Amino acid sequence: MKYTVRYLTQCLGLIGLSASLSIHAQAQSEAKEGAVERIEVVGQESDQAIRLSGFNVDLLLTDKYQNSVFDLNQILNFSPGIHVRSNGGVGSSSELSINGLSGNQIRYFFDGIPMENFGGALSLNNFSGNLVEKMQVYKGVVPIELAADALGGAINIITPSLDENLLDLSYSYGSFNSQNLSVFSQIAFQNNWFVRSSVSLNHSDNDYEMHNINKIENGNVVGVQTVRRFHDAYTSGSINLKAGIQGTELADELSVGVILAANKNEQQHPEKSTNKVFAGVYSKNDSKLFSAIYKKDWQQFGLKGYLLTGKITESFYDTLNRIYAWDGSYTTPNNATDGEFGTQSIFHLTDDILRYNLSADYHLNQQDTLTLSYAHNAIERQGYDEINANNTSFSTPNRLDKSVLGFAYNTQILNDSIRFGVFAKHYQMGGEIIAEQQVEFETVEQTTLINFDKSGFGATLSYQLSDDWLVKTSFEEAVRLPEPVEILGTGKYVMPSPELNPETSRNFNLGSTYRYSVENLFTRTEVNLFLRDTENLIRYVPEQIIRGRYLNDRKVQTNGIELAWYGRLHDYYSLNLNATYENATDQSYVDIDGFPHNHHGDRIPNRPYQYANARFSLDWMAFDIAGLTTSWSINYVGQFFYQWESSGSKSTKFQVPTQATHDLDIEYAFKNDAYRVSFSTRNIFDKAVYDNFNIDKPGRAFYIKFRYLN
Amino acid sequence: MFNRNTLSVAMATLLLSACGSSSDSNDQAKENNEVEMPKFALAYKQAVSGEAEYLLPANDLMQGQINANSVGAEQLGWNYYYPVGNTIFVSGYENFETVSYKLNSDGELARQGAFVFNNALEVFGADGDDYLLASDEPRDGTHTTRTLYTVSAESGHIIRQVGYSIFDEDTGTPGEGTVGWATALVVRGDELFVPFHKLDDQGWYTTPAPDEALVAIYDYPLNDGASPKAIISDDRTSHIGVNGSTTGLILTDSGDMYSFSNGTIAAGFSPASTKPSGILKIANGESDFAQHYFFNIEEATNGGSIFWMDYVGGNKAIARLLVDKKGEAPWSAFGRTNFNQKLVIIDLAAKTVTDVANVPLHAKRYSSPVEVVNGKVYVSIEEETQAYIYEVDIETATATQGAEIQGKTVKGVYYLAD
Repeated sequence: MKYTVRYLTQCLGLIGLSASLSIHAQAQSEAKEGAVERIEVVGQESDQAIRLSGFNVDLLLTDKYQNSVFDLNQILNFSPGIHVRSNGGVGSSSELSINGLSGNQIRYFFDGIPMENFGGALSLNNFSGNLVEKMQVYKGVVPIELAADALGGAINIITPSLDENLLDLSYSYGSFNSQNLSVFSQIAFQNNWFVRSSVSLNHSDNDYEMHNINKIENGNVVGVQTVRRFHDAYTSGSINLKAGIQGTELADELSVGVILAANKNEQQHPEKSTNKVFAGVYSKNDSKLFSAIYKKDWQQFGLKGYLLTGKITESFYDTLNRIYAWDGSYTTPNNATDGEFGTQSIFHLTDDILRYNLSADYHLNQQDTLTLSYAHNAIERQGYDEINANNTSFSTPNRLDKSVLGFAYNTQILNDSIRFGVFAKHYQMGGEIIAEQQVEFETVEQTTLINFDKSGFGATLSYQLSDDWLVKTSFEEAVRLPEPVEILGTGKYVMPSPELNPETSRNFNLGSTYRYSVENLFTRTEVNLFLRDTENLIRYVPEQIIRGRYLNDRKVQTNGIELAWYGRLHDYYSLNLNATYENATDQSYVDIDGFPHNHHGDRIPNRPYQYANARFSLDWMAFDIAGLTTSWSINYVGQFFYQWESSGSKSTKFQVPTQATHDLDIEYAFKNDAYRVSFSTRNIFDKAVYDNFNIDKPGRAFYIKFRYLN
Repeated sequence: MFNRNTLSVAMATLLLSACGSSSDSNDQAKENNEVEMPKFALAYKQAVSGEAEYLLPANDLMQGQINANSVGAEQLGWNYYYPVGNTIFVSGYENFETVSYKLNSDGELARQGAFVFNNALEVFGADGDDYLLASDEPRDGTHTTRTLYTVSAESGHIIRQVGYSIFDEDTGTPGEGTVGWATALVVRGDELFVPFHKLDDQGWYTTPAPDEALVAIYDYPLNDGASPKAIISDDRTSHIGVNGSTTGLILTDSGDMYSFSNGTIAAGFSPASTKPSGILKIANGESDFAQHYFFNIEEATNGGSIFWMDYVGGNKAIARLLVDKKGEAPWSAFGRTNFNQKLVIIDLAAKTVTDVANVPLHAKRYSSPVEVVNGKVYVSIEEETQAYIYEVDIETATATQGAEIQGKTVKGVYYLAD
């Protein structure tokens, strides 16, 4: 359930409000060429600085995807070194990996504010893209300004600049009754005040076909069948409001904001099995967040800070006293208290969060900059079951505080052709575990205090050999502090693990970018090598029959290469290619119980390790047809095994086969590009696709999207 | 998925054969019409993250290494293994499915049949060589009806499924009452014997009143909605069996039944029982504990307690005793911090305990029922950094170290040639 995503429709009124705000038209900047070019030739000064720095960072401008139906996960999946696995359709759980590290080893930020534990309705696949101007993807080495315990990288979602007037309306409709409505508006007043509102509604029935599902008669497996999902609808909604002043003597930005988000996510079957079918299991998320932001850059000195507080509730419902089959029929179980998943339950898990950050830059001169950053992240978690008295998980609130102090020095020498930076981060974690523990035969409340700290450091170096050739390298000793559930447990079956050590990883990148242009041809070639030496990976280990705890387990080394090539001819034809190969091997010599490790040096199973993308775009201006663009995309993922490759007879091994899917997008823009219509086909050849062993993803789907942009 | 894999591999095999590139010794053997049939199957678990399990074919248990390198039927997650005749049932937690395996004519352990269940099956038994019995347990302590499955060893399919109850003491307030947790399913004639623990009814897995042995008795086969026709109890020792073991009560060739009780916190009792670990008997034809029979193991072994026991023919049982109280902690016998299990042969009639010679102290969590092959049984002995198969001669109570287990454990050794 980690990354499940849910939404609710409760904001129709506000759409009207947003739409009625008066709009001052803004001149279209890089209208057409921007569509393909902006991702390559980054215009803004800050972007340029990031690109030239030693960080292995991808800047993804989302505008070329915004006209068609893509969520942020799908856009990220087009990048080298990034792979997103999902467990189904819209709103299903998904996991993103960057250079082999994934899940909570990657941290997410929204305009620099950490999004961890933000709740299902605010996870990446809920964002339709209008609100997002670009994404910075830091691979393995993360600047201190994004102050968090990111073991394998960070993704920072950046919204449009506040001094623009914008109105962006879009609606899409497609297969499986998928709908998305998105309204983004921003007004920058003459007196430097601004108001921004973004409203998004999302729905899908996700009633796609599943293949090779066990056909069951009287409990016995009698064959396989193709079935249609019938209880997997997902609905979500969010409102994001922000107002304040920008571009004044006092502040570049001083604002307050509110985010309200909710979802409802039906669950068709347990995460790893299709032998059980649900018709009444669902979850709901409700998030209310309040933020305040201050930013000011004086000539020599810059200051940034934010404050975020809020309440996030995830609720899980399992209340039907029925046993369902894939054809929708059901029987009644022996017990009146049985739900579909376990004992009937309505469980609410509430997180109260408080986060703040203050960071300051000091420019010693033109070349040298010092940066100091402090971030604090506190969470209090409490659980409550309305109907199952035996579910006492988190019945006593648990508290956990994390803070990260960072310091960085950056310099530029040799006419700025060499950029060098060093940084250090200090992580501190404190918490109070109050858990009902079974001591002998007494249930007692035990309080455990934890307090530990850890330091990390890193360096970045880039060298611009010529105008067209950039070489960069970076290193970080990165740290991920344990999550609340890992260290605190759930108060019942997951026991506290106060001795848990943070995961650490030594991350190294070496990359080169070469640009070559001649006449009407522009190309860019990128090669990146990466190495991740990861230790103390945290894993859940069953200990006392049904109880267990999180423990530090194995050591993994990942090395890999990403290649990317981009070419554009006559501004009309463009081709994006990228391929990633990563080799993650287990480096443990003994297993968690002290036995010799059977697979030392073997590839980590259940993880894609070769994947590639290609996207060819054609602007039909080449044939004098204005406003029409078509794109063909291919997504390739190589075969991988669910368990260790060398074990077991081949005919019985569980695996995810090699897959290649094709997508087509046709876009048409008119009236000075203010109106855009797109038609998309995903998985054109209707291949059976899986990211996770045994669990189908949707087959062929069609979408149409309308967008008005002003 | 399974079928998809089977299909694709079958196609790949076809292609390979077509190219004439296959030089597999198996194929050679097939051509010569002398398929080597494995004599044993092993439920093998790896020592590695994920701890994958494989059902391995094996012929020689006495030398070499046991591993799943390119052999064995791959399994999902943690599984129970239970043999019925020459069929092996594999039942796990991940896919809500029990799969049966049999040796096919090519000498491979092939998937035979499968059935699905709603709640994890955690206690097993057999009705002769033809039927598996399997039941769920009250996992979170709520007062619920149990389901008993009768499954054909021939087809791997359910032939009968009934709801039944074992024991419920319900005050309406979780934590005040208890629920029955079965530790064996034993059919004798037209009766089913189900020893059980009384666990707290809030899911903490405590044993509020452990100082009696309890067995529920049913008319067999059970009718839907069955409840015990009698619950027999005996206060000379504690609750019968331990969690996760399916042989808390064993039936001998002569129709007598013997139960073992542990009662220590190391075996999951909390609080510990004040009664000694020991063996009780239900004599052939009787439906109550034999009053004249009690084998006080704690007394006989200088403080030892039985953690596992299984029948090996005649009036003998093989057993593991927890012999060292040092480092004892709740559930510690299921973990791998204490290597304090001693392998013994118990003469149930003569009430003697004989240490099995040449076997080191070890740790062992779960054992599927043993099979006797020519007067010998094969067990997995796990030490701190190594594990071996040992061949135990029942008559002489001596053991010989056999093949090295390159992994965590062998949960069961199944003889396929009888």
